[in-house]
Amino acid sequence: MPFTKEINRLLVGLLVGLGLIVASALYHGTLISDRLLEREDNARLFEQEAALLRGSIYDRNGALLVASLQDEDGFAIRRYYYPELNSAVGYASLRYGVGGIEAAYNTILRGDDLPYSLNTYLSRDVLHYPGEGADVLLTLDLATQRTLVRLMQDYQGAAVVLSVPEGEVLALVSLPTFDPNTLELSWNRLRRSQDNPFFNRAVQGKYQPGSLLYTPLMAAAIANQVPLNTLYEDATRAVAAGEVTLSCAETPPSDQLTLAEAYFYGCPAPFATLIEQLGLEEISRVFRRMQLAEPYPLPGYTPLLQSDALQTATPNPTVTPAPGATDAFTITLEDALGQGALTVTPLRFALLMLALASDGNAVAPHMLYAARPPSADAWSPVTSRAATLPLTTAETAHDMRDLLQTTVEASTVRRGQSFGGATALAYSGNQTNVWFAGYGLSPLREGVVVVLVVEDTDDLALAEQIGLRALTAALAAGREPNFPID
Amino acid sequence: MSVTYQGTQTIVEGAPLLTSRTEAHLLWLAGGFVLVNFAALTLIRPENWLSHLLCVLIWVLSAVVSHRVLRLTLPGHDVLLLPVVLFLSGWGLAAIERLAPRFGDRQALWLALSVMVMLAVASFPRVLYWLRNYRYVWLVLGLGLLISTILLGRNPTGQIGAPQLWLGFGGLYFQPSEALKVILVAFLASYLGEQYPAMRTAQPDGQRLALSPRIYGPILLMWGLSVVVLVWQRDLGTAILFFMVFLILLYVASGNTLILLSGALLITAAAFVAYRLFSVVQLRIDIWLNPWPEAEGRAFQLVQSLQAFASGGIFGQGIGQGAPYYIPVVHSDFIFAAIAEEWGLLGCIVVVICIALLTMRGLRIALLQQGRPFRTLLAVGLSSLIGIQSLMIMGGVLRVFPLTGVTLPFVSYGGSSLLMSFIIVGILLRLSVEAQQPSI
Repeated sequence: MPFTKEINRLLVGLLVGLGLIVASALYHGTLISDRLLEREDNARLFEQEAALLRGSIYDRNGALLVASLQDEDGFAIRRYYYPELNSAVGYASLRYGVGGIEAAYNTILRGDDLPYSLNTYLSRDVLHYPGEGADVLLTLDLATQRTLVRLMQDYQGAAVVLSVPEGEVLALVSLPTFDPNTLELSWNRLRRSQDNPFFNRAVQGKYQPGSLLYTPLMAAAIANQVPLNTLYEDATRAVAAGEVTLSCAETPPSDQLTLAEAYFYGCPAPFATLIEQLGLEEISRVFRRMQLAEPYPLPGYTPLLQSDALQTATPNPTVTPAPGATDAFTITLEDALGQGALTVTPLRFALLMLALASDGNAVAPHMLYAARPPSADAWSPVTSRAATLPLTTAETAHDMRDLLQTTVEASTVRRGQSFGGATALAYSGNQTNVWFAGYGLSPLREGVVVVLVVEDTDDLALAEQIGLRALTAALAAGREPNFPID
Repeated sequence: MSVTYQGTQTIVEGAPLLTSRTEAHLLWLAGGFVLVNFAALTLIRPENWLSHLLCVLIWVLSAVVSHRVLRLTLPGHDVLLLPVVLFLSGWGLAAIERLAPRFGDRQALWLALSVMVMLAVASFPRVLYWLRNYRYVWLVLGLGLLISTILLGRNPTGQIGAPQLWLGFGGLYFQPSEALKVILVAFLASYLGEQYPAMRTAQPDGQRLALSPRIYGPILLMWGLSVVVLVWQRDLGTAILFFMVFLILLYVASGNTLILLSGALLITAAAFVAYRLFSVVQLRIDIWLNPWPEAEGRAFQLVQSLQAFASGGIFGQGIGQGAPYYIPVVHSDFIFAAIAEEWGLLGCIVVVICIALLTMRGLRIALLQQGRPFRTLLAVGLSSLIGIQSLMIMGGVLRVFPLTGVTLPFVSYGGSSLLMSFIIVGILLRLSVEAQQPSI
């Protein structure tokens, strides 16, 4: 047979070729499969993500704030039910990633840390059902948040409500905000907006504190045993601080004021004298202990924009901070009077208020109560080892509480409850902002603190009114979560 | 079983290893596989149950009828060929129903037609005589088809700039190059079957006719034909397939290894020139060399194909569970990638084994054609068509070779391809029976 040798060779050649195919399939299917699948251009990753049913988000009383639904094509749709919560909850978008609480608890909500069980294997790997994440129960209180947003809806600004002494975040407001339900359509417009709605003013907003700093200055005075009842001559005179001239927030009855009265009327002159008396070094030490200049980094609220100019809520400070000035924390008179380069975030100041409302220590703020795996009925508490920040002494905190109690007119105080707080004016370029920082406590010294800032207004009464109503609402909300927890 | 000795030959008598019963058993196995896959698909897409049922019924009918007809009309035929090709086409049918449901019914009808034509070819006693004795008629017919495609060719998608490789008749499209492949193999087998003694005869100076126009004439003719296909039709896959199968036939006929080397040189030269001249060739080679920078552009199809292999892993995602639909035209050229994703590496190996089995059985049939060079070369050419075409497309989707737009025989969507593949099987079945008859 003349062709046998050639046919055999041909067969060998074809079999070698087919062997190469098997080897290549083996190589791509096993040896480098992970590398191939992790590539960003792998459309399967996108689909997997699109079908993933993130866990639901509940407030402390079990109100459903956010949930994932499935459309007819099997893709997940994230629904945000309360616009008042948007700035706190953030967003989860396939295209734009995650922000806010969605980012802070992304691992839980995606179910990434759920144990790999037989059930997971069968449903995910065999039957290819979409992944399901765990639900989260937050410390946020929907009623308090809605009250605050309703009161502040005509303004830009921020507000933080913390529980005393636990440091649970009950409300976290930043206005203006965005609608995560329509994020895909509005992203570019929102990103370009000068209002910078993705910027969480409560956590990231570095505001000039203005006369809000009189509170820590008073604490410094108390700590240094400066008599609060000594009369200061010419206490209502104006004080120059950088490019602005500071005067009393409210008109006092006399030119002679004690330090406590100057605090009540927001008069800068006695505080300028106090700063001279204590020395900038001592003021720096007290402020440093209170960590005022350091924004408290709440997880999930990372800046979206790289531009520094857009990362501050006060784009026109009266004093331009020198590079590294905050790090070195070398404060000036202007800084100490709240009109210098020193800026504070509402959350950071809320921590100081929390320390003053308790025993001088502040429990680091946290937002997560419990989590619930997809198939479980009961919630499992999340054990967080929240750090305690020693910001001042118990004695100073006690004296400050008494002092703050005299500065607000709380008309809705219930029996046994104590309210205290202070309003403040801060100048930022051509803009004036008003602050409120206060607390409301039960006889057991359990309660809440509220810190808020309203931009572009000098209406101190407005800040006080919003602050007190927020305190009332938060105290009425109850302390324990109204939800079954294992 | 008894063993008797007749002169130098040993004859083993007794029950043969592969019988008609084996074919039936294998068809049962294939049927089980097809049924399970369609059942799983129906669970996922219950709305398409009627279409699935139609596919299964057509497949079962094809298997039963072809098995019975072959048993009656072609006793002693190769019993592995039918189960393997029906297994592959049933698998392909399930994959097409899963990937492009609107094409499933059409492919099932093409399967029915193809099986009928295969049976007709296999049962027609004079098919080999016609193929051999009317070779010039076939050649003229083939070239006529090629010219008519160049002049009247269309693309069923209507896409502007797409290759015009089809001839349309009242809404039905046929790809003449598929028929041309078989016609050219028959022509070359007939031609070389007559010429091979001269090719193998040593000259007075001891050299064989390595440089004779008898050898290089047809080579250049085929090369020219391939270039025509490439230039006018931009059908890179068919052009390469024509030329490679021709080289194989020439090599087997002449026994001259130099022919393979010369052919390889010609392919390289043609590839170099084509790379310079034709954007389609340039694209295929560029993305073969490095697809990653253009993973979301020109190399999207190839990169998605490789990711399908990665996604499938060893056991696959299961039918309807993966995402092979990200690969453009996955139901046609890239169906092997879809199999990789949903049936895994194991599925790929099974497909490769089936293709290897088909090729081996075809070459075995060639070896059995004692003293009948036309039949030997015909079986070699047809087996090579299936083997080389499968290699080209499987290697293409795996980046072993540059991509060439050919179908995976019996599996990919495409009526012309399926019909001609079954005609090849019909001829091989006929040859397997004729091999048992004494040569004249």
